[in-house]
Amino acid sequence: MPLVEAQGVTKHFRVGGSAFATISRATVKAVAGADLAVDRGETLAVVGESGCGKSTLGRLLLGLMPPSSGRVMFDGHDLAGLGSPALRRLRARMQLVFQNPLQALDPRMSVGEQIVEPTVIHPAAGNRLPVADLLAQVGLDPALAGRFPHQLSGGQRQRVVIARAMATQPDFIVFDEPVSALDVSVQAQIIRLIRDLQTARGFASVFISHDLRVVRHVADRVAVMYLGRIVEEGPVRAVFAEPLHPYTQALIAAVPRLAPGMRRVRVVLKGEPPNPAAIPSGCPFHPRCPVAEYDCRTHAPARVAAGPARSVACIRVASGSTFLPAA
Amino acid sequence: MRDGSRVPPADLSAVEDGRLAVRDLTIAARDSGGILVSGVAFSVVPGETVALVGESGSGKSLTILAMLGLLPGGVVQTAGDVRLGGSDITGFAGDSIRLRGRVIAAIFQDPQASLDPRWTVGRYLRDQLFRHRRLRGAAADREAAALLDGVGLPQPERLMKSYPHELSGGMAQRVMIAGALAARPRFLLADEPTTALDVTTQAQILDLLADLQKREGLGVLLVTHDLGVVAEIAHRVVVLYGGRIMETGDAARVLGHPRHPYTAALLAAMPDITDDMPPVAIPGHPGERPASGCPFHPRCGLATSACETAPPSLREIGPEQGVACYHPLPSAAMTQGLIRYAVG
Repeated sequence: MPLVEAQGVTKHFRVGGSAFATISRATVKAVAGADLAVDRGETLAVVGESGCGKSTLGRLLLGLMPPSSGRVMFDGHDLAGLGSPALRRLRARMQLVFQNPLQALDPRMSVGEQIVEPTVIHPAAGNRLPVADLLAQVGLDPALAGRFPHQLSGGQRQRVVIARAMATQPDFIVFDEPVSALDVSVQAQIIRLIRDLQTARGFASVFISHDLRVVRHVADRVAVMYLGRIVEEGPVRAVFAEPLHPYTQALIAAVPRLAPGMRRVRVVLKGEPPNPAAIPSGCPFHPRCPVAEYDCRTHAPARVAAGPARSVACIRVASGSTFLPAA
Repeated sequence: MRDGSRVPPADLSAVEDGRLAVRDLTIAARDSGGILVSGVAFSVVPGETVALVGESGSGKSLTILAMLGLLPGGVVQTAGDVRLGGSDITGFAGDSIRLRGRVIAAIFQDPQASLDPRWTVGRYLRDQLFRHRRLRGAAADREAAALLDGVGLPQPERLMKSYPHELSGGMAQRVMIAGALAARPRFLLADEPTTALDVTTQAQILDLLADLQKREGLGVLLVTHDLGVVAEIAHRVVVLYGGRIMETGDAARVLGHPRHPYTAALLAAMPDITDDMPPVAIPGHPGERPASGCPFHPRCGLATSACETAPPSLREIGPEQGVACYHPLPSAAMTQGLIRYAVG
């Protein structure tokens, strides 16, 4: 049984409108029928462009907001069906690490106070590690415990946030763009730290990122989202080496390459990133898809198995036709 | 600046053909006197793309703000000049403001923040066209539509009636580029123009910049933290660290065979999508500023006591490649020679 599982999860938000109801309200379908499973000790990356619903999905998986429909299961429990004491107990086993550590930290609390705070909120959780051990675990000098967030560098702050997430010894962590705000040389340090902690502590995680280059080095599997749907899912190396969905192909082709002479084979995506308040009919990707067929305008493809441990939502893959760019 | 009576000078040919150069640029913090940029020198010729690469605190953004005469109040330029052809266009000297406005255009990271939310796209472009070329009425509308078309935006007439909040990030950046081109500049300074954009939109904007550089013969100075972006579109690269140039030269050569330990370390720290090798971190962080010597020495694996005393000056180390390091890495030819020697 997977540790965390989303079953047909949707999340709709009502946006816009005015107090005088002169402007009609729109419904944003941030997540539209997502199915995924994360096993113990496994890291699943969720990638996609802004507005694809990846951060909303992360919060749904943590039970931080209820889904509009569908279920989120954690260790066999439906999060929506739990009373608050039971939910609190489960919450101690889940943590969230997000992009901006300065916003995540309280400027008036010392580093030492912040990182033990989760064990104060969840007194029953895990074994309490001493502050010095928590700091050492994330590569920080225990002498920093008395410092305040503004006295630290960006990389040190993100290490403090990660140390705090580790304090309850969680089984599941959602990382939401944890290295996006960092300089390249420091980003590599945090990637290394996350990899080391995954190995040493064995927690399961969901790693939300727009940067496919980072994902390649931290995740076991990857789910590609487009307009609230997971359009492709599979082992990260297999998906990046041979993407099946035209959107995944375009996303990978757009990543700047370092190697000289490795100019990318362009899959030029026309048009703008999509608007989740106006989802196209049929396959939501069809207006930008370079290989869309007539049927794609009316038919929303289901995600089906495509090779070992892989799945994809595209009628061209399902029908066996090939459209991979010449290698 | 909105003085309608002054007509731009008719003959700009003397400066338009020249290169845009920065010489010995030095910028200090006004209150502490701390040196933020030290002795930076490079040039851009029309028709080429030069990338200015660095992490936070490298001085890359201050350098282009100085080139635009837009340094913030807290800092002061203490040495060096900005030259266009033969003319000194530093700060407010002589005709600086007028020359810069006509010949150099700039775009920034957050296009939505650079556009006035109360102005339609059409009003913004007509204003630019009147300012720089005294176009108005139907002629301005025609030219505005042509500019939008030139940056790959469809349905210009409809777009002209749109407000910034109605645009996506990629569209807003294209509008900014169209506005920047209204003056028919010879140089475009772009400060992290794709950092706030999604990766597919980033690819489109980089394609557009490369296209403009070729089609219009624009000289493009691109400020970025992403070596992948450099590899994509730059001809030459200037690598900055702690306010100093570490390495400069042909982009393919510098990225393929870096000679400065910092360039090599930065390349190794970049995660690659095709590579199984995890990124290699550089210890410490770019905010550490040593009191003396090479700014990179506290983080450098090759540093010796010489590196702690005085910063090495930039010296020619190969064809059009310069390095500021006492212990440059061996050249590719030398490495190959050593391997041949070792293998026998």
